[in-house]
Amino acid sequence: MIFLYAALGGFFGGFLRWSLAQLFPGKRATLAANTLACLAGGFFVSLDLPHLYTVLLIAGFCGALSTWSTLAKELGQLLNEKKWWPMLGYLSLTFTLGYSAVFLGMRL
Amino acid sequence: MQKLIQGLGVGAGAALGVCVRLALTLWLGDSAWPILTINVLGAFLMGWLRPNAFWGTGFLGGFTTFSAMMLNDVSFYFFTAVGCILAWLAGDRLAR
Repeated sequence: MIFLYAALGGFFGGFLRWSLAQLFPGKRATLAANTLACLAGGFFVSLDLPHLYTVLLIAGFCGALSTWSTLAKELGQLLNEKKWWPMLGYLSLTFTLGYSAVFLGMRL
Repeated sequence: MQKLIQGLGVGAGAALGVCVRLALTLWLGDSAWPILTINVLGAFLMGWLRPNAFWGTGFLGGFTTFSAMMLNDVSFYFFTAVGCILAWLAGDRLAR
């Protein structure tokens, strides 16, 4: 049962991340998805929901909306191209926005 | 239409990835270490296997998570970033 909730949240999170990738070019989509997931994650955590709902919304939806695999790929490609400063900039921007989004989400 | 089918496929892949992550966190706990391991493993597979939309954007995207790391211990941010980038680079070299 718990896996059904996780899969449902995961489906919508993954579909939304894919939709963002259709709307924005390249890294902006990943950045938007990760930031949005942190905002929603912070908000859902603050609600103190029953366990099944945290699986649906936090582990499932926010977990699938956000990604490290694509982020690592984009950062690694920047390193391969020896673009050190854009790589550091993208990494720090992702972390700053993610951290601020969690902070903001918890206070919504 | 073709695009929409790809999007639904990505959603299905993500659903599968989330379930595998959930199985691992139910087994190992959802503290910082399991999440770190999952993210590093996902980044490695992304570099090594160079997967298509279903397995890459879908499955591995759902399997790894940025938000869970952000909601976890701050001290793991650095390790996750270094670990994931090095894992992707290692996978990428292996695939060449």
